[in-house]
Amino acid sequence: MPEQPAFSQRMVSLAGTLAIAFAIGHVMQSGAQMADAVGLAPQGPVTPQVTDAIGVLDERSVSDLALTRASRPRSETVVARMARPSEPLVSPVVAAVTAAQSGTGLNAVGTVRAGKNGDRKAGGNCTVRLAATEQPAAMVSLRIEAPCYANARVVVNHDGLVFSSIIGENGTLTATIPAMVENATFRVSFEDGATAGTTLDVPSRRNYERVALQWIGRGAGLGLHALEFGAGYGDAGDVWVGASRDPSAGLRADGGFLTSLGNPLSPNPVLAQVYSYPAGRSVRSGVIRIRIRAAINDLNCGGWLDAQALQPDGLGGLRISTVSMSVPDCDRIGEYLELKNILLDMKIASN
Amino acid sequence: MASGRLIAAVILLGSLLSSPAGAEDVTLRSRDGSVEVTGEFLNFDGEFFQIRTVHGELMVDASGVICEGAGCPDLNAYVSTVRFSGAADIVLEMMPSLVEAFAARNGYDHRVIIETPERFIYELGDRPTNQIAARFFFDATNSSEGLKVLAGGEADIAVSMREVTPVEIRAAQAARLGDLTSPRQSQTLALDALVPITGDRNPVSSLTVSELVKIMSGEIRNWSELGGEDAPIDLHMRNRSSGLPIVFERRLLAQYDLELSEQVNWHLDSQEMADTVAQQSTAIALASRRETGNAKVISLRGNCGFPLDHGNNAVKTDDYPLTAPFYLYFPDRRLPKIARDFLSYLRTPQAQAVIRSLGYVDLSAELTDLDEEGRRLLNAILKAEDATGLTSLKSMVAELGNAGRLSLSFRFDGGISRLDTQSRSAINLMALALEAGFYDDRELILVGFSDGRGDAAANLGLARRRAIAVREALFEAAPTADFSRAKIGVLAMGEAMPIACDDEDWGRDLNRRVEIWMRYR
Repeated sequence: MPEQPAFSQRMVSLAGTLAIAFAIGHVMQSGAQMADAVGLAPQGPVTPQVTDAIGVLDERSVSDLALTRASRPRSETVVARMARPSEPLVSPVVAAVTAAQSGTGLNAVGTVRAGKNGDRKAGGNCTVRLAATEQPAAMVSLRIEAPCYANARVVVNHDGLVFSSIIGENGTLTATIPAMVENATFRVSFEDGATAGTTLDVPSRRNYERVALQWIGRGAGLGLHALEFGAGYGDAGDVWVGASRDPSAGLRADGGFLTSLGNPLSPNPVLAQVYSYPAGRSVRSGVIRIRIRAAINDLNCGGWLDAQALQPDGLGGLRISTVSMSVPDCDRIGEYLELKNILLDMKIASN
Repeated sequence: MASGRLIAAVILLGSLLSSPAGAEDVTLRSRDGSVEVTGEFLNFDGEFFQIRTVHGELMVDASGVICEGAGCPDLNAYVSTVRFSGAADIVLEMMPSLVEAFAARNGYDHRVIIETPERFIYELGDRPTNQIAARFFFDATNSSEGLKVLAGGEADIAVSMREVTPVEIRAAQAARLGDLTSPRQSQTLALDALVPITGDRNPVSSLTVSELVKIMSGEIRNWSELGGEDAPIDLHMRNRSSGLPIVFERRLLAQYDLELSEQVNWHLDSQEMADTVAQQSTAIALASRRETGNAKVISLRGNCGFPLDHGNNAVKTDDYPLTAPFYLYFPDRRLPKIARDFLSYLRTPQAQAVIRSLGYVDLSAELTDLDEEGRRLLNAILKAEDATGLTSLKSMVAELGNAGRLSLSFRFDGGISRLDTQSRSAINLMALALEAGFYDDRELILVGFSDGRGDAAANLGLARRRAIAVREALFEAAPTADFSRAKIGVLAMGEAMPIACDDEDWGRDLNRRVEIWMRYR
């Protein structure tokens, strides 16, 4: 297509606006950058072709999960568009979910789909193995054995709860993950397209109320606060990343605990926080206010934060809301953006 | 290469984002070519073209025609816009769940864009085309503001925790928005109830209705008058524009010719009010049943001792004196199809289940059999004054022993000519169910009751007239229902089985009612 000056100029200004809009830093202009945004771009020693990378985003899963991104209404015209009209524009977190879910035949334990590394190490054992075991407080220990992926970025997706981390030097990684559903599914994916999955029944899940928030990138300033039974910010009953407690609090049934997921040092990190309360065995009753707070900082001020909120849908399932929030201008650095109603308060009855 | 594709995409989006096409002539041709109209393009709402022809303005179903001419809109790029404004409690706490459930049910992806904590936008994406199909704009303000911007043309749907006032009705008429009291322009979304709350250390756990009224009007000023500590009572309430004070004034204060005290601490936010009151044992507030936070709920009773339950059933049957329906109001013009779909969805059992899961009271009728009415029966037997009372109770048990009570009641705004708002919405719900054949091969019995004032025989006659009036209203509201399959009988019970005290105005109001019972045939 011949370039028309007027439009290329517009493109430049769009790209400029976008860089601000995605304060956490993803300008989806081309296939390569799209792949980068979803965490599938070349990283470290693995250097697949871009086409390989975006091949993971198969047509069906994209249309199932992705929401077309066009403009942000009522704000500056901010338009992100994928290269081909058939490829939707997705918010980064949704895209990460899509990427992690798009493999086929994921239910068996062990390697399901080999990536570039598997091909490269012909003859070597590059099988990715997952082992999930139930832990106290409806937690799941997920051990990833990925001998060919030492130091590589990995994305873990548990029924929509997504985070990224780095496989250790020795080719293994163990993560302790709050079960979001009773029949839990775990899928891991690597940047070259390799995926593996496993499932685990976690019957103790029904004793816990759980909500989660996930987002992409350091510097988002985002976090969950659970204000238990009338507590204010900073009180003993304010459970947040700075006072997170551990799952034994849940076992004692006198309070909830917060689990942080994702390695902030992983490239393009997908991070999550999960708050759990042992509602099934609670000795207290009342309301736990769930707040999302974003510290307004120089990385996010005046821009937008993209996140996903996970909570019970009230009908027995999990409700995942994709949220883009406008962050106040930079003259308010140091203040907080507080959102009270994205995650609904927990109403706890004593047992 | 990538940038070339981007440019193509931007051109496409440019057309999507541009304002509606200018005044240009278009030709609409039926697909078989037999009919053709030409005119100035005015609007496209996702379903219908609106054009101005020499014959006047026409609405043409887009599915049946092909649009030709420079003024034709890009049908695929059409994005419906629906603007909601009003009560923050409903907009912030109920609407997101409902919109997301609506999206999931209709195959839309969704994303919420939060511009400020009080303003957000839901984008619904059409999965097959990956296009944005609709944007729902939400402004969380208050009931008064929502109705104001509706009249000002800046909202399509007003969300209110109270009924429209005469002033607001006139404002809407003046703005050519039609009659907001018409059933076509309003819809009951859900029910709520106001309950008194206090700090969790306050020993007072029960109040009579008249005590509550005297507290809120400032006649009772110290907890010691109520068996509590010697401490002044701090009054708390949601601010006036929320609509909640009006519910209390209309339903109770007016009956006692009293006004709200001027010493009330007003709150802009329900959560904040509950959190404040929870920490003060001298405080009392009237709060939404759903948003009592960590405060202690004080139970209400009638002056003659009737306990007033605020459970789901008592709220649905309006047997609790402080029920507060939530309303949606919309103008007398065609809303985009997706807006109409959403409004219809809100009436479905699926949407009502979402509302129930959020702690509000849904509108669906529940069935309780006579066994579960034991407490009411016991009360009735204890109150039955003479043989006549016991006889009518016996006949009631005989008639209804094999039937169950539906959780809908009907009451009148004085006389029997006009049903009150909640009853009108109950009529509409019953009518929908009747037309859908939900009660086919069953028998519905409208049971009329009266208060206990005056002559028992006369009361029996009044009760029958009330029941007949409700049956007429049902016939009228459900013209396509097959009443040979869903039989509707009428029964008069007079003053038997009161549900509230007859020595108070509001109690007699509650007692003058028509219940609806059902049995299988």
